[in-house]
Amino acid sequence: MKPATFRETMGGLHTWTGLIFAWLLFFIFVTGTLGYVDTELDRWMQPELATQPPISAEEATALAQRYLQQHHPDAEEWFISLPSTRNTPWLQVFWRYPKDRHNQENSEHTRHRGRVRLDVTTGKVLQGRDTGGGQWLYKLHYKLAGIPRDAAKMLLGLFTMFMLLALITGVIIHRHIFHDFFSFRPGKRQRSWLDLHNLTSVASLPFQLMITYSGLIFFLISYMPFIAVGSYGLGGDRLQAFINEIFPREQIEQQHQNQPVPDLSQLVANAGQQWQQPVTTVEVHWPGDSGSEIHIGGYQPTILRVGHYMALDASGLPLHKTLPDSAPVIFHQGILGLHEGTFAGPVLRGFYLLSGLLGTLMIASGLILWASKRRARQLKQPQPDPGFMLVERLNAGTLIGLPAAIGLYFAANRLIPVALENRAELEQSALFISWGLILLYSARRPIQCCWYELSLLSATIYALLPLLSLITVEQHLFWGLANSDWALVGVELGFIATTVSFTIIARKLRQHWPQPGQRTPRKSATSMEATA
Amino acid sequence: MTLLTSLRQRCTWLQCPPFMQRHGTLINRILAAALGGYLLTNTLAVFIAFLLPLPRAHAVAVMMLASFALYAAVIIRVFALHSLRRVWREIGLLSLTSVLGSTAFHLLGNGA
Repeated sequence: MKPATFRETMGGLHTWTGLIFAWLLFFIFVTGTLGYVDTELDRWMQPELATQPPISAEEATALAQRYLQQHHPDAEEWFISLPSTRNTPWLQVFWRYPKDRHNQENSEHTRHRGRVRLDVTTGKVLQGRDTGGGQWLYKLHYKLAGIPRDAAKMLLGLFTMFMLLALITGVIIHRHIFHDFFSFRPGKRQRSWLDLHNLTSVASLPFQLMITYSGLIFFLISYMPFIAVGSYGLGGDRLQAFINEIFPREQIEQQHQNQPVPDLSQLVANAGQQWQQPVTTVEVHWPGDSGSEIHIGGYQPTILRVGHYMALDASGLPLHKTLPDSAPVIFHQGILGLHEGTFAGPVLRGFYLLSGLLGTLMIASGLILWASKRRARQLKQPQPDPGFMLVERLNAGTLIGLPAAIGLYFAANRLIPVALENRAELEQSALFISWGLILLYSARRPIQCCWYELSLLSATIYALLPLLSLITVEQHLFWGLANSDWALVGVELGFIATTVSFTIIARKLRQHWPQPGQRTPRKSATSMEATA
Repeated sequence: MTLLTSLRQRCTWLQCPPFMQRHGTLINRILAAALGGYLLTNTLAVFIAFLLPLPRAHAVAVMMLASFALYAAVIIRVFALHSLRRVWREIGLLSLTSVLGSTAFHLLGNGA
């Protein structure tokens, strides 16, 4: 037998590295893409929160300081996030207690760490319904669910490495990378799926490479700890020595001498004046102690995730400190910033969302292509291979089933009574239980019914969401339009767009893949023989 | 060698399960890519980190950032080569060279 050429070998590698974890990668891509609209989803999932009037940085700081002084005077660290950009629409305060206070009796004040949102009109805590919100969905894409943190991290590295390999081999096997970019031949079954796979991949290739590589870099040191061994030696403390050298972080020591926290709003006003741009964060280490340090940040939404920064001592006098800025650290920060896209304005955010969707489509079309290439031969066999059947079933249950389950997560947010205990957990289990049920359903149902019915189900769920808002909460689509709450309106319109997409998919499926029991014209009966 | 072969033939329970027998070379290649590749990536990265004209923390950080590209390249090489023996030989030789080189740098560094 003639040995396989390089391109053929790479083709095999592409097929199998792409296939093995594709459903998990699909899950990561869907939830990660939704992460680009996390703040908007948060808004939608806590509709009762009062919209906040704009407020100056000084006034907001004063409110935050008053709250923290009153409730958490003994904390080790305060962190105030001022309302500024799309990413931080609320005035939020965070606090953290020293480690040894951790085990004290459990009251609101001795909790190890916490955060609240403050209403800028009253200075009181803003309380919305208990929900994981868009943040929970977004965190799923790197924390996964129900697995220990470290295990999730390692699994994620494995999946991402497969993704990177699939991308690189995909580029290698692609002969006419530019020619194919312009060719889409719809209605030709397998050829169309290949075209769609090529189109979505090539159009978003730079994004896919960036998102995959930067995904690996997030947990760089966990994945490649041994590279530090050569220069630093073996062992956890040696690795820590490397980390401290690259990200210098000095300990701020408590002096155990009382010294009241200076007026933060004054400091913020000064910083804002000096920088000619608003302050966004205030950090106080050991508030009320003479060893206290105050760090003020003017975070501009840029790729590098850095901005103005100022360190002050306990009495508010400047300390000369800067952020680490070596070339590798800046590269590291920059690539993580690109991954997160928090710097992106509305238009660029739209492109992020689009690229994420293209990546999702790339994975989906690749999976469908794998199955449709083998379907004709498999159906001629008396008993199709179990591997093939698994792919077919998982495809239907995941590619259509997961969006449906996420829709049910949103629906649960509107349906579960606001006063119920643990309602955030209930919402989350709604996603996983319904996805599990959908997978079971797609394992039993004839495959062509499955795709069609699940698409209909998805379309129905997303169509119901705006209606559910209309019935259960005051802040529905029309309220959003009237009060120009564009985050809320955007999410509702997104649901409607999803409904339309799934309706179109369902229609196409019915046309091209006749249901058993449906009367079919003779022509499509023969084409079904050929490809179905 | 002959002893091992005859032993293998005598004792059927010592033989690999049929799955392993059928896909032996594939499993071997996957192991070479995953484990051999990881080994080579790390040893090579350590060695190159010594060669880079940067402060050591930066050199290590640069090699960590580059390591995934290196790993991917090694895996592709493992699958592109025909002979599995050559795959393991290349991995072994390159890793060994890197380890020796790194050791030399380490000793020199300590002496200086």
